[in-house]
Amino acid sequence: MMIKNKKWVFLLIAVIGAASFYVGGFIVINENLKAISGMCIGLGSALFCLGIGNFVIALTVSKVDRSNFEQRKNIEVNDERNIRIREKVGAKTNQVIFYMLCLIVLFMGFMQINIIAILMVSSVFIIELILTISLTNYYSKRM
Amino acid sequence: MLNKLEDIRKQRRITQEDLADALKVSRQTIGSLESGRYNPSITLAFKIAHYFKMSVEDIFIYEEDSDDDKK
Repeated sequence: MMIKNKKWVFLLIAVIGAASFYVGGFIVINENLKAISGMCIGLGSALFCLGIGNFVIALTVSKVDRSNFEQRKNIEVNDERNIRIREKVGAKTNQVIFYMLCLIVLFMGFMQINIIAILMVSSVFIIELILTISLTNYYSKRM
Repeated sequence: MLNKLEDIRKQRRITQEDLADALKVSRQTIGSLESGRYNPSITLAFKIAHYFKMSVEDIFIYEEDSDDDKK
């Protein structure tokens, strides 16, 4: 029953997406409303693809297969080794991105780009520092 | 940390898939545990011990000077 309901929800999402696409592409064609038209087209396409994709899956995959798939997915997501891998990957990625950001700020300085833009990018360092302090504090109290 | 998981599992004729399903972990985790690439959390170690009705020390052997934490 639940899957049947979901099936119609996905179809509804696809219809809303198609309608939004139609409105953006053929009804809102005024030059002044170009941004809204673009937003409708983008949102409509995304909703249509999401709805149709899930609708087709709901139609073709049986309840048993779906339940097995859900169970397997839950195991993969909650598997402790996978969690540890994700944490390590996140930490390493963060390290690399931090150094890349340092280089980008340095190059922006050499290229004499507007100081406001450099300050905006540099503010990420401050956010990172604040996040590091607050999250360390948060987890220290809970672990 | 060393372990006898592979030997114990094979003695009992259990596949990696069956053990993984029973412990609700991925098959890759069982493979990594058996090859010694991955050390389990204390919870998983106890789950494994309960599954085989053995003590944790019967399955896992702690080595004093191992560098496992730096992996």
